[in-house]
Amino acid sequence: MNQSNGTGGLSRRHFLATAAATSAALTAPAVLGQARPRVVVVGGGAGGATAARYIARDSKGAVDVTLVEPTRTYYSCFFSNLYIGGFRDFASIGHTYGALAAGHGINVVHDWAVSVDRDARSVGLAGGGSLAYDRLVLAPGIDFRPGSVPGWDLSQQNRMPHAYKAGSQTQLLRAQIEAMPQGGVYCMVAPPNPFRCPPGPYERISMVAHVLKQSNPSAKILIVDPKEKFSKQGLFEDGWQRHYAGMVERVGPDFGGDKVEVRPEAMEVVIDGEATKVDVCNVIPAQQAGRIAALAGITNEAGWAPVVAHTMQSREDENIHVLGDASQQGDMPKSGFSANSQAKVCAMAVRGALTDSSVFPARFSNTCWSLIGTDDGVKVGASYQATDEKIAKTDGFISEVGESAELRKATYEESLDWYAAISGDIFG
Amino acid sequence: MAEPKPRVKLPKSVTAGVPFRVRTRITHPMHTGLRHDGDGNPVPRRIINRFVVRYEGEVAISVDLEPAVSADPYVEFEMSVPESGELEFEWVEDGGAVYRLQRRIDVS
Repeated sequence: MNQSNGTGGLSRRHFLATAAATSAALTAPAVLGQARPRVVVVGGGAGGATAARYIARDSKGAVDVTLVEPTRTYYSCFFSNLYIGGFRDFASIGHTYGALAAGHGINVVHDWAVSVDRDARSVGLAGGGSLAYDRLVLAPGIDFRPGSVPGWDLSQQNRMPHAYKAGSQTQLLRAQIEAMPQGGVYCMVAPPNPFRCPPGPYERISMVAHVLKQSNPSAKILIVDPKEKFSKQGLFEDGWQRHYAGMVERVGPDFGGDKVEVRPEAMEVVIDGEATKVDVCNVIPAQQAGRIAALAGITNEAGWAPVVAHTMQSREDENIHVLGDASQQGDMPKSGFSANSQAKVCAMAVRGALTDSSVFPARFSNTCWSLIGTDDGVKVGASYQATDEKIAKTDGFISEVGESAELRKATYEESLDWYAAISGDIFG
Repeated sequence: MAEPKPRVKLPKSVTAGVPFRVRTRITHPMHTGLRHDGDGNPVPRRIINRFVVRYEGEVAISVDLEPAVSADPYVEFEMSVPESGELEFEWVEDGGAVYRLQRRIDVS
């Protein structure tokens, strides 16, 4: 493991790398002769897969990259609402890892990471093996906070789906919406901040309304929401009024939206003590970083993993980087676009640390598109830079109420192009 | 259109003679009578034109609503009561339909 940091002397980086090689030689003769630094990436979504791809591609084989992801086919949460609305088929949001393995030499391991030994620098797998690393990238996305919606837990997710990790849950929710009785009630229990994809629940409301307006126009949509305000609120409320007048009622904290429990057996939602019978109940619980982040001991009381903005390194362990939804980084929303953007900064920092390649000041960007109705797209986005404190917003933009139909259609079409482009950027 | 849905938010308990906040809302399109539908036909006026709250049968507040009031009219006010009792909320629609809610207010 020969590294030069150009400044002479024994840098900490050099020392750690040498120490790792030595301990590997002592404990694992099988890897003797392995000179390449090792990166393990946990989580093959927008953050993890991008980081793996960029580290492998840009290091041209100088870094040994392993990606740990349990699913063979990844269904993107972004655009999964469009499947619910009938604007995408399900296969179109599914992605596999063959190109990362074949095109970039990434070692793709389909398994669950279940432990992190930070002293030994190794990741334990549910299947029994372990993976040693010089740098670990955690991009596990979200898990749900137990008990955040009284009456709901994972054992109830078939009766009351969350559909907030895309896949079978998304298909289940759409099937339940299609099976609603005429004039029935779809209820969403919306999550408190912070959560994955801030406009996501409200885009979903738009897509559910779009479906019901055609097949079940007397149906009602009830949103029970603990938040005073939500992302793109003016744009969504204007759109609901234009496309789906009289269909959508939102109960915020001013009417008890912050005091909700559910009774899955009875299909009831209890708002501030008053029970309402519903036909579909889409419970999106409060969220926290994917469990492996907590198991690694790098999360805070709120359940997220604080990071250094310049490099996406954990504030608890400089050998671990955290990306995307699981990280607490500052001003960026938890989105696939954000995770992809953070992954590129992370990849650059990891290569800089392990191979002494050039590292440039971190720049980030994000855009969140939402579809309100047919050809009625809106967006919000911003640019960001790294400060010592956080990822800080520098400037932003948002669609406006009253834009022309042409502009809204162009915004929607832009989102289709973005999806195609980012899918290629993430999965190769 | 879906049936209008009234909602009321009250404190769990109040103190005799001390003002407390009451929030009310009813889902309603509040058609002004001035708009046209997608086919160019006028949409007839249909609004909630009156909102009344009674405490133990006595009018506590009465509000006349006009066509300029936006959809899902929201009315918030403060009141006080001398002792526990029944509050009745009443929304009157053009044409005479009435939507009601009853709530008990407990003085502690």
